[in-house]
Formats: sequence, structure tokens, C-alpha cells
Amino acid sequence: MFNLIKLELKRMNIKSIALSFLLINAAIIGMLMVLGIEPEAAAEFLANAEDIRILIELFVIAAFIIYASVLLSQIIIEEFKNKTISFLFMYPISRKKILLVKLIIVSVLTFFFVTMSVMIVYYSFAIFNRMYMFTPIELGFTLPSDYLVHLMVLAVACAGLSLIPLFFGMIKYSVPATIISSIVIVALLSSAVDTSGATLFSITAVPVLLGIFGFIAAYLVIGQAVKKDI
Amino acid sequence: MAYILRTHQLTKVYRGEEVVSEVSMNIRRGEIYGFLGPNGAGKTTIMKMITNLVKPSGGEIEIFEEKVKDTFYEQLKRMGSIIEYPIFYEKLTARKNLEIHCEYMGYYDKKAISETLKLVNLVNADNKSVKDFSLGMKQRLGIARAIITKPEFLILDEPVNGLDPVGMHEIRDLFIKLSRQYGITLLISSHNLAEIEQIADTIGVISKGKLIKEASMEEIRSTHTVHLEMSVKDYPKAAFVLENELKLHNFLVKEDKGIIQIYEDYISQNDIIQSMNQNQVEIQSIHHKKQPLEDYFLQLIEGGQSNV
Repeated sequence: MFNLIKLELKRMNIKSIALSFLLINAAIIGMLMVLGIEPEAAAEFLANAEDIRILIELFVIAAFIIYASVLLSQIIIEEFKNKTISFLFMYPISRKKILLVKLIIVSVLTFFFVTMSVMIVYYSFAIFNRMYMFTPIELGFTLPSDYLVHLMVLAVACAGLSLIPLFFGMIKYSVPATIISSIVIVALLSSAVDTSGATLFSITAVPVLLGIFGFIAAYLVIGQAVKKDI
Repeated sequence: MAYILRTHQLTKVYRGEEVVSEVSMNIRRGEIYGFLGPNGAGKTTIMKMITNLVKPSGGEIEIFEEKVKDTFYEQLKRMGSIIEYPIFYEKLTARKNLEIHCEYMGYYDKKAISETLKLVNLVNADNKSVKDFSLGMKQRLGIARAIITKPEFLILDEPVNGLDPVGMHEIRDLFIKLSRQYGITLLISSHNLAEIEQIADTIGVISKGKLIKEASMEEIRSTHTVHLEMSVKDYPKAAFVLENELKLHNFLVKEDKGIIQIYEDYISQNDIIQSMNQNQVEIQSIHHKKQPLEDYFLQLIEGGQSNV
């Protein structure tokens, strides 16, 4: 299994993935800096450090769920579309394992991307804020421990959530369908549920449930693909 | 006799249409099996079923004397294949493609890559990415990938497609070498008899999803129809004599070519000449004619189609 993951990674463009990761982080930090342009308007929906953390989470999760759909397109959808999967299926390895490895890679990467990015963005912004005062809110360097637990739960949920687009993309081996469905998921989850600005994301049960749904969807997709004629 | 592959009543139905129907083929260990049939006859589908890409709708496949089941993949280690057209990771180089292939196959012999590239005559191209390859080069790389792990059983779907005549010749020699020197069994499909006629030990002819003939090349060469070809000026009279005097019914008058073809093998040339002379029909020439293999196969395939 470990060997298969290594082989799969060998065929992926690790450099470009790392670069995307860094660029997405930079872009989110940049977006937060915009808050400094109009501190009064920002103060209307950002009252404290927790609000800023939720905003960071929202940006990070949205970006990496969409990015996960790009990875899914590259390592699963396009392999089916270009029929390179037929080659993998002719190896002395069960189809289930081959596909499982791909899903594990996307899920695990998404998990790490989300946790790492939230940390990177938060601390970078906290440091920059001390230097340039984008917002008057004090951003502490020690995070509450229950926040870390919350972040882990959210990241695991994202790992599952990120697989939902596969379900739509595999119907016709369509890259656009995969990416668009991820955008729709992000749009739905980040829509406000009440006037206070809370989103579906902020109700932890919603991403968790969807995360579970994502893992089930992935299981179904594998079950289908294993039986498919190539 | 040891068979490396046997199928029994193998059938595949796609959307209600039988694309492969009740094919029972037998490939002996060590032989080159030529799989001949027009485009769309079902060759690729059968090869996909053998390599576990497509699940049969009915019938059985036995490879290495073992029935193919859902969990059939261990045996794939002992097989090499090109199915349809050669597919690669286009952005990677030829060498990288082969490296990854070897690792997936669990085959670790660093020297094998250079050796195999040399064997298929792709020496200076191994560090070029595959997307810059011509079809002929891809085909060679496909063959290299199929044979690099020294499999026991090679399944090659139209392997010489896209090669120039010199290349075809080279690859044909390579196949013979693989078979005779390494004892590899080859299943080679083609829609062109000339491509496999010289190398195949056994030929299976498929048309409209049905295997209509399976025989050794030797057998086919020795038994395929011989007929008498007679050229005369007065066809109606000659035909009348054949039918009424000699009581022959199995003959064909081809007016455009000016010949009569007689397919009865018990009648001797002498009898015909005598009888024509008695009836004052002038014979311009008469001789035995062997039908070219090409025609024989065309006839088989057409016959197979009209039966459906």
C-alpha cells in the first residue's frame, strides 16, 4: 500500500502542488490585509479574534476543497478519460487498491493543507498585524486548546467533503463537472444562515455530516469503478 | 497439450448487442497465435476480457490453466499487453514510463530498460517526453513496455499499426525471436493477413463476434481450396458440357475474366479436355489454381457475415 502511494506520488507533479499550496496561502493572507483598508467596515462583522479565525477557516476550506477537486480531476477523472487507468488496471494489483490509494492521497493532502494553512495564515496575519495594524483586534499567539480540537475535526470533515465532487465527476468522466460541483459545495456551505453572518460551515455538525457523506460517496464510486468495463 | 489460454463460449453483450458471441479459442504454450478479423469484429473486446479490463457477459476464460475470476490480477504479472493503441503518461519520458511500469509490475532490473529500448530500436529517444513521439515510436515503446518484464504471455492488439514497412519487418523479426528464443506465447491481432501470415503458427479468424475458423497455418496452407481454372471462348456450350456430359454442378463462370472455375476435386483435367474436344469446345488453357490465402480468408469472413 505504502509503495503504491509512493508510485502514485511519483506520477504527480509535487512541485506544482507545493507551489499551489504556497500561492493559495499567500492569496488568503493578502485578502485579509484588505481588511486594513476600511477598518470601520471590517469592524462591523469582525468583532474579535474568533471572528477572524472563522473567516480564515472559511477562506482556507473553500480554497482547498476546490483544489482537492483539481487533484481528483488530475489523478482520477483524467486517468479514466485518457484511458491511462486501463494500464493501471492491468497491473497485478486489485482495482480497489489502486483507486483507494488515489482517494487517500487527495483526502490526506486536503487534511494537511487545511490544518497547515489555517495555522500559517493565522500566524502570518497575526505577525503582520502587529507590524502594520490591519485591524485593531488583538490576535494572540497562543490558541485555545479547544480551538485546535475544533480545527482537527473540521479538517477531517474536509478530507471527506473533498471527495464528494468525485461522485459527480465520475458520471461522465468530466473535469468541469468535478470542479464545478466542488465550487457549488463551497458556495452552499459558505452561504449565510442568519443575519449575524454565521454560515453553514460554522455549524460544525454540517461539515462533519457532509464529510461522512463524502467518504460514503467515495466508497460507492470505487464499488462502481471496480466493476466497470474499461 | 499445454494451453496457455482457453476460452469457453466467451460472450460479451453491450447494450443488448452481442459483440462477442460464444468464442472458444485455444492458444498453446509457446506458439504465435494470429488473431485475424476485420475492424469491429470483436478482437479488442476479447483481448480486454483476457486482460481483465472487461468482464465477460457469459462463458469462461482459463489462463495459465486457471479460471479467471473477479479477483484475477495476480496472473497479470505474467502477462504483457498492448490493447487498442499504446497509452502512456504523455508528460513523462519514455524511460520514466518504463520505470514506473516496472515498479507497478514488481520487476526490478535496472538494466532491462536500456536493453528493451535497444531491442525495439528506440535508443536515442528515451529521455524525450512521450507527447513528442510519432505513432510509430509510441507503438515501439508500447511493445517495449509489454515485453520488458519478460512475461510468459504477450497480448498484442494490432502491434504494427503505424509502423513503416521496414519497422514492420523489424518488429516481426522481434516477435519471432521472442517466441523462438524466449519461449514466450504471443497472441497478435490484426486486420491484415499479410502482417501475421508469415509468423503465426495458428490462426483464429473472427468475424462479427464469432470465431469462424481456428487452425494451424500449416493445415490451412495444405488444405485451402484448389480448383481448376479453364479459359474458353464459348462459355454457354462449355457450361452445358460440364453440367450435362460430366454431371458437374460446382463450377463458376466468370465471363469478365473469360474463365470457368471448377471446384469438384474428383474430376481430372484429362476428362474435361476429352469431353470438350468431343463437343468441339475449344480450350485455350486449363490448369490447377491455388487460391491465395488472402482470398481464402476474405471468403471465410464474408461467409461468416452472411451467416449472421
